[in-house]
Amino acid sequence: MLPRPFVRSPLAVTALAVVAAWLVAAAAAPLIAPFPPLAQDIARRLAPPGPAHWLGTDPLGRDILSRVLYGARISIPVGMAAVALAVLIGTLVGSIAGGVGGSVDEVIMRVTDLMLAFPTVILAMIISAALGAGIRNAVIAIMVAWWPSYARFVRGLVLAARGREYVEAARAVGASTFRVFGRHILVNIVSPIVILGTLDVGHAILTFASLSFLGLGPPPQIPEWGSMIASGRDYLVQWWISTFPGVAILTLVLALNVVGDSLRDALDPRLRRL
Amino acid sequence: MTQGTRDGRVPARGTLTRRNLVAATAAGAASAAGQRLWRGAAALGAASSRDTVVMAPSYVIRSLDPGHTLEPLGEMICHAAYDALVTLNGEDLSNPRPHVAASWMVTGGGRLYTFTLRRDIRFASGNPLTSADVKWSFERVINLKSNPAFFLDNVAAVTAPDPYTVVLRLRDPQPSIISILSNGALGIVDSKAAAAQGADAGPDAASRDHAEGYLNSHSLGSGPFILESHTPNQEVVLARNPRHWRGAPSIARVVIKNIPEASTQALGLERGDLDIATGLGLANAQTLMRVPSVVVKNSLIAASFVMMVNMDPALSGSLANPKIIQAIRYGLDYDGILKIAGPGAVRMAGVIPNNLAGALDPREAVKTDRDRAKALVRESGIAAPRGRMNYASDQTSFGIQYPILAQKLQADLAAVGITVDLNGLPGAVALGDYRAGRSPALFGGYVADYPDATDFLVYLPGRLVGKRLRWPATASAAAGELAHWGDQAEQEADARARVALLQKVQRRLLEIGPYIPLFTPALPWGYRADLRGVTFNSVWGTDFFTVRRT
Amino acid sequence: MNLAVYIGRRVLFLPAMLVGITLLTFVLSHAVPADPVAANLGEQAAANPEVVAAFRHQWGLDRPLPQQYLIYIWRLVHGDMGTSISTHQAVTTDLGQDLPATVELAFAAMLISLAVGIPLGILAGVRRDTVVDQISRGGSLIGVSMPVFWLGLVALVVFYAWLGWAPSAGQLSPRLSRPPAVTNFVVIDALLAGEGDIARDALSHLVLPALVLSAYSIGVITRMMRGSMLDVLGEDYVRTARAKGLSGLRVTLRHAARNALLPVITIVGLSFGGLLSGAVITETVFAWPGLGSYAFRSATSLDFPAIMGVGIVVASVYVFANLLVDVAYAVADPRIRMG
Repeated sequence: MLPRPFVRSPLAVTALAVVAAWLVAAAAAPLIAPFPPLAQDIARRLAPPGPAHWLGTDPLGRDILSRVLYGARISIPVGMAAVALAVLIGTLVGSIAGGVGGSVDEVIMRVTDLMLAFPTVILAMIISAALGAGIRNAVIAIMVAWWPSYARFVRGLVLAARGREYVEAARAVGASTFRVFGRHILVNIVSPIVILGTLDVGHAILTFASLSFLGLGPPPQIPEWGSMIASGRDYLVQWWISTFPGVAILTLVLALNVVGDSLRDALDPRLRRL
Repeated sequence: MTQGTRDGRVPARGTLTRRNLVAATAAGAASAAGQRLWRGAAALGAASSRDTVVMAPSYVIRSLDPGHTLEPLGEMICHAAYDALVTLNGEDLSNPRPHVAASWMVTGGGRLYTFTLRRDIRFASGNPLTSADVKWSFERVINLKSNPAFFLDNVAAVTAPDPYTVVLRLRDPQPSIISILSNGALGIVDSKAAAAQGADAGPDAASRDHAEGYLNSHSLGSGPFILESHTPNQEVVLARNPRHWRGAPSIARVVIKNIPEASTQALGLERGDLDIATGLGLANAQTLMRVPSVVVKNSLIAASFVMMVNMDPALSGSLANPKIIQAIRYGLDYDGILKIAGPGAVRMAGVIPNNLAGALDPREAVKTDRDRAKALVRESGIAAPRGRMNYASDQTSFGIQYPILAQKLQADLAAVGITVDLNGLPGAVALGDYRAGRSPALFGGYVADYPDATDFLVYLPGRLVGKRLRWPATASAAAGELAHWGDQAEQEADARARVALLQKVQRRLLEIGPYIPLFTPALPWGYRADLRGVTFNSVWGTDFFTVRRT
Repeated sequence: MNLAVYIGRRVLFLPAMLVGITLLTFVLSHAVPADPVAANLGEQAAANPEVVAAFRHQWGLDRPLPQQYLIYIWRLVHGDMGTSISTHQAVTTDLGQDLPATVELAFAAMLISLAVGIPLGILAGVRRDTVVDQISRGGSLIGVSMPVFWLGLVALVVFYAWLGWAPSAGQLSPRLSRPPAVTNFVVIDALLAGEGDIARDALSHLVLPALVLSAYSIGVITRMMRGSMLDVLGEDYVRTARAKGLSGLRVTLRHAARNALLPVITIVGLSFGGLLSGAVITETVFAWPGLGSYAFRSATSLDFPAIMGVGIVVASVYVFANLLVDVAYAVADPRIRMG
């Protein structure tokens, strides 16, 4: 099922295993977490890692191991959703721009230029501040900040595909624009888009954690890695509060990046230039 | 989008020698070596100038112009640069003492206050301080219609019959006016020098005064210090005023720095980079107690932390039911809450903080009783009481992180069957909602605007907080009566009678009002052990005049 | 189309872009569902309608939104960005004070990224599939996978709290005062004032945040450099040079590295935006008084003039950087100009 070069690389396989492990952890968190993620134990607040709480407790006495496991249930779906939405909108807009061309293309390109003029975090920050904190608004913020770059990419792909021989042939035969697009162009651009999207899930998780860190994510009792790291800022001596969620983010995103890289190398070498 | 790597090519056979390898990674090596070098620079800060004090507070400054300031840090700086008519002694909030006013008389049924000023005070500019300056300063505060204007709401007129006498005519009797006058915002400004900078105290001051920019970075007062510089959001520097009428202060310079991270403040204090730190946070303060070169204190703040429910059931739903409110009072785990509030915080029985005369005895406070809480929930007849509680998701006051307190309250109430949905909002948004009367439920710390218990009558129906919880004095006969008692307490001249009235008011408030008093907070703060005379009070923080280094 | 037309079209569109930026920033910052009154007036003051009215009048908030926008644009054209509601200073003054700190940080981070990333990438490309390559690829992967804020906190804990190598957060040691403001670059101002000690202290404070901020860029640049090295090394002219017997090092540095640098140059421009984003977070963690902290503070206290000011400055800088990159690309690769 997986391409040969991919399976051959032990690094890629290990990374895939790590991602799989996180997916399992996220799905099975209610079963494997030693404590409920919201259960407070004030008497044992700020306890260092030990036999009772393997990764220690936070300022309200909640078990950090359990909250890290439950955190995966938020970060993973959010990362995928944000990318999926950005890809969808970007593909739509980019296809229109590349397919229709002319002044429509110009306008769309200028709008994307405008949106791309704001660094992601600042744009996402303003949007989240405007809409309010919360998971849904953070996803919207990321989606709004990212769709322009997908739009440009897809536009480039569509333009390249348009110049291909099979498209000209189809046109010469008299096929309608719609048919040409659906049959020939779309089929050829799906693969690179999907690969690029997969590569970006890790980045989306990072961005969401950043927004959460700034206080623009879910409410603080919800175990989310970014806000867990933020809550440890005032407790530098109790290093475990910030460290373990950070390790979680690092391992997951790293594994996702390795998997994405290897997948791309194996499936579509042309994308390497990116 | 992410970048790619390359693979699948014929391996190149470069012949980089070891020397070249070193050269190629020289950059990496240099940065590591550089870090070693810079270690020396880090020690630079430790060797401090003995007559400079560096302080790291919770750094919020809106304005350093006495006519516009209100925030604690603004008050602290105005208290250092300007002198007020009366003052307080260190951390004792109950006894205002003469300062610019050498003495005063109360006549006219409690409506006329005649102040006799000292004659030996000169501003830093050299101009003598006279009653004209007092009148001008007060009128400017009133007419600028800015943050501190409400201090003098009840003042009908300010007159200066002779150069060293000032008369305040009040509309209603108000004994707390003396405490109010200790505020930094009511410090006396050099009216001649200020007018030269575009300041205006007339009735149109709100549009004609142009001095705020100047006063934000220069002081025109008679206080022990002069404002040397103000870099917004970074630092404020005060320099000694050698001509101060009490004598020049021992400290030559005060640097107030913005260090937002509590842990960084704690580490700075430990290392000697800082002399005083008041934004330490509770966990860090605990750790610092073990450091011999640092003194850690917990000073009680004249603030009341109270949970409040909106009286309008359309907003607060089932939470507004009186039995549910009672259930909340019994259901909360006060021991756990006090742990979060930190050592030094004290359980509070009413809405007046424990360190002001008029507070209820903390032993009178409701004790946790979960069974009773559950019974009350059943008695209310509401099957599944539920409501939303707003809170400022980015706020930390006196070391207490609001998100943590919010989650604690939520969990406690869940345990007795009351579901509270938390709605964390950025501070400004949460505040806006509350002021518009839109908060279904919330908690907060009301810090005394002035060190008198009557300030906390704001919780009464029809007054500031009551209004925001949609509780007008006309809500019921009981509310009207309570509001009337509040007015009486405010005007009562006899101290003992006033205390009795205030206590009666608080007990009634607990019977018919939507308040769940939590605690009076204490601020954990620290200073280097080689300093003496360092105090902290809720009105103006630290008074630098008394600070000396041994 | 030829180069001149291409550049001309892009440049002509600039004013429209800038107007678009102001409009976008205005809409976004005013979409916030709260009033700056709340953030800037005390409890008692806010309860007094007269005080609130005076405040709103002072800041021009009592006018209809479109009018506020036009007034803003009019003043902007005259170089006036309004007065910040929280600092009570001109926004241009605020930006003048805070922007240099971010530029210092971004510049230092970029220097470090290039100084580390380029040689590492060259090395990895030349020594492909060896241990060195694996380590550098692993390191760069970790660099792009790590949350910046976490790295910052960990760095502070390890290097400041535990080891005591790095100085505290902030731009200067608490006991030192800023040198008189000339350029607002602390290091330069200190040197101009002859305060060598303060300059050294400022540099020492710059190290840790710059290193943390550079982590991501190092990862990106290393990967890029390695990739284009491998591309170029496989090219015919390189193989020819090798066949002719030129030494490995000469081949590498003369031909390969120089050509491999081209895409990296464009990366510098593009990662500038990433640095600005990362700067917001790094500045928050390290209490660095730069544009990022200013942006965050303004956004949370609803300081409209400041939000607009930051948005416009940041977006404009970005637009210019993108324009330069696109022009460079177009010069290098004629195919791009075709659209």
